[in-house]
Amino acid sequence: MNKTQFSKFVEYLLKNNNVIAPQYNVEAKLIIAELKKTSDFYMGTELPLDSWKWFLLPPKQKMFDYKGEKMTEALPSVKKQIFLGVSILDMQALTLLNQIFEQDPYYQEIKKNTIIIGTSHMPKDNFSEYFAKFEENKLEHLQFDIFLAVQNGGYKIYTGSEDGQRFLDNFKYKDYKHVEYAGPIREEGLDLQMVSVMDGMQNFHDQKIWDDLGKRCISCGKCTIACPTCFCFRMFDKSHLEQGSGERNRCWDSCFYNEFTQVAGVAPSAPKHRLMATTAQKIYFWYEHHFVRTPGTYSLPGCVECGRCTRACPADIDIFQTQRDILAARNKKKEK
Amino acid sequence: MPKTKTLRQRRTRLMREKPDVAIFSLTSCEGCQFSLLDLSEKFLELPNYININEFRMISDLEPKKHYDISFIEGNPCTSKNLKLLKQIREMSDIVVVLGNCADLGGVWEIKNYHDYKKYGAYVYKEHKTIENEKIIEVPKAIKVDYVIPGCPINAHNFFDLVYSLLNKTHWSLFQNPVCWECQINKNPCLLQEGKICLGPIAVAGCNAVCLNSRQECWACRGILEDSREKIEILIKILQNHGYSMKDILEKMEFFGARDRIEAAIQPPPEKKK
Repeated sequence: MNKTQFSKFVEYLLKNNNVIAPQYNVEAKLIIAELKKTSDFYMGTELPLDSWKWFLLPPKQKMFDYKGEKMTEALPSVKKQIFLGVSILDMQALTLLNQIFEQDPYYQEIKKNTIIIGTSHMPKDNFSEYFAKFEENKLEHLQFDIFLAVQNGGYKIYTGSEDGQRFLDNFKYKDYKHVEYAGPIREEGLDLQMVSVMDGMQNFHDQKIWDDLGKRCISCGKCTIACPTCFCFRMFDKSHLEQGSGERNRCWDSCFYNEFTQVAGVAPSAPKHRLMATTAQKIYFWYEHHFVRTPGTYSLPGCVECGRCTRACPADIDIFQTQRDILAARNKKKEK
Repeated sequence: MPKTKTLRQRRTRLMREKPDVAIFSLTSCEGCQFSLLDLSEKFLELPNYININEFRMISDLEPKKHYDISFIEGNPCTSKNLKLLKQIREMSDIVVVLGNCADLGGVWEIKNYHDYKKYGAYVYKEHKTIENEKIIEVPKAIKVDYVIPGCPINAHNFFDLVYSLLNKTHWSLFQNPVCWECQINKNPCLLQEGKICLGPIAVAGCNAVCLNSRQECWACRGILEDSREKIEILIKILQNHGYSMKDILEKMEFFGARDRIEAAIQPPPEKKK
């Protein structure tokens, strides 16, 4: 597909659908939002500040209404939406979210109505060795509908689902190659970088790294909101005016916040016990979730090396530097 | 109100048909009352379920001797205010503090941090007839049951509390920082831009309104519990940006959060054996 054909394709998508794509806002910040006109669409190596989870896992979601003992489920009502220009790193994140929320009807309801169009554009500075160079065989471990691989003067088109094929057929474009999803685990085994960081954290623990970070982090939780794979939420109930009626909601939360790990008793009257009392514990927990527990459970990297948390951090904590520190501590201890 | 009654006992009294509710106003701009009327549709539903017996924004009503729920907006700046405040506590089962003036002292509290007698004489010609006393926060003057913070309050908090009092369900604010909502709203970080923003230590729930308009957070909703570590690191970050302690304290004073911030970073008292 050459450039002219591609802009026609974007116009075709815009005509009948709700297209969500990266674009610059009035403050010249690259964010993901609903695309109004073709010229706003940004396609390039820069990653947006926010991630696609805003549109798949909304920040606040109603789960059900209740009245007395009667419960009415409130599944989200969504129009068909198209994610246009999803970076390959974000596709990796979406593949993970798809797995985590496999059983979640609210997520699946939105996912069902979503078409993902990925691109092979990569941010210039990133830590990922695996995705540093795009190769065709890497696609079969990612979930997507259409993929645009950057080529000289245009894009090579791949499809990853029937929905994607149907879209291209309707657009009367035939020159695509289909890639069947082969599960998360690659032929060569687990991601080497992921395994070494995991090993470093599990077997070569260096408390100094975490104590230092604990002295710098203000636990504002912005990294967890910006992160494309952070999905933790809290549930809360709200009463309605009518007697005995109300609703249950869920909203994003962060492991950096005090109430997240609070157990036993209703705030603020009961005595509080927190599983993580210090910032050093909280930040260790966050890294452990991304680099140890998620790979352990889903065989997928919990961090896609997009660097969004580093960009969001007001305390200048660099996740790539921390990974380097973990690996350095591992090498140092291994030598001994 | 007999002092022995617990909050739970006082709440069970609300089982009566229609509770009597009062919204009192002390010294303030009355913006919190307006923010209730801004959600007029929701507000107009209320009289079907509660009797609003005192709310001078909408009408002059006969005062009652007893209220089930009293909301207090504004600060007891004068002795007359303070007397009324004590009366309110005595004739109400549940007292709810409404807004920053009542909760943290508001802009009135700036004078507590300065030589207010001197400034009083500077501003007013007849300063001897002006009552110029130290500002007291409502929760320090009387016992309060709930606090709805903010300047002005988020009216949704008010309705959520009223609904849960009527339904006898639990209500409390999230102990999350303003950064939480700010980042969800995709705002650029003002702390990263080198401005004095108290977002990381301030209580969320305002939907980061100020930051949506790129105005720094000055913690009008108060500060988070157990935030000693956070405050110390925030001050260090701000000092690295080149601000002096005086600049930082000035911003903390604006909505009266300074005394709480200073109290939070005090080392904990040593446990007696």
